Amino acid sequence: MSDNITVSFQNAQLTSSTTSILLQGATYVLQTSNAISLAGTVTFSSFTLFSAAMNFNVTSGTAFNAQVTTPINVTDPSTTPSIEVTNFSGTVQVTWPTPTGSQTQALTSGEPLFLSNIAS
Amino acid sequence: LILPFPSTAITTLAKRGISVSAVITFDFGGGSATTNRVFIVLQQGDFVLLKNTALAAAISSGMTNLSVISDQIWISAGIGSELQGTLAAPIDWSSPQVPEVILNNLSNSANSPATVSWPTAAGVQTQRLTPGDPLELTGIIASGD
Repeated sequence: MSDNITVSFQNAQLTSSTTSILLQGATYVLQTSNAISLAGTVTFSSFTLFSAAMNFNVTSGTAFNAQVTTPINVTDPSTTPSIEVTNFSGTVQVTWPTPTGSQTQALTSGEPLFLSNIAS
Repeated sequence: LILPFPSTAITTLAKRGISVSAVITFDFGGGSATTNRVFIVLQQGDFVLLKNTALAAAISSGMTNLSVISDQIWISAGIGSELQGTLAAPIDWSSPQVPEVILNNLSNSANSPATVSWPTAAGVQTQRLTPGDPLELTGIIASGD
């Protein structure tokens, strides 16, 4: 099962030299027409992407405005995947599809959030 | 007990080849973007995401957005902006096919717009990319995750 989620950094202050978007119970996936996409004021010195971790290396204290849109594969449909974003203060939101429409929730740095009822 | 192995299955396996992975690296040397989107196309292979080996971008100037699909990487940049930095990407391909890459929309300036490096049995091979021209990654071999 593949779903598109969006993580939005809204002028968030980064508190370390690396901020990560981590998945549990799901993986990022490359598709033929649906891109993993970084948009906005993407101010990072480097970017690394693994199957379940996306890392931005930045200058600590950087204000980060970026929107990350990515397809993910839920690895076990019987469990609910979660997402965690690390090392920020301020507003970061995640949006995912559900059968009744898009769900958007604020993330707290370092705390996993379940993508409840995620749907293709 | 000898189970018959149908000839159709043998033919199918031969067509599919053996799936192989390696990391290729692009080095951008300051070529100028000729449109808002510089992009790399991979033919006869796919970009992949792995658990322990990253797709890694360290592009110090010029890039505004980055997008990745299974056979292309798009780097959005202002027209005329100079791209400097590196992009490393794990790829999969089906041997004995040989993957090839195409770089699009960077000016073919005197300073090399970009090079691509890949592992071979004789060591790392690095070649200059000519925008729009496919470059075959001749001799590419697997490099582990």
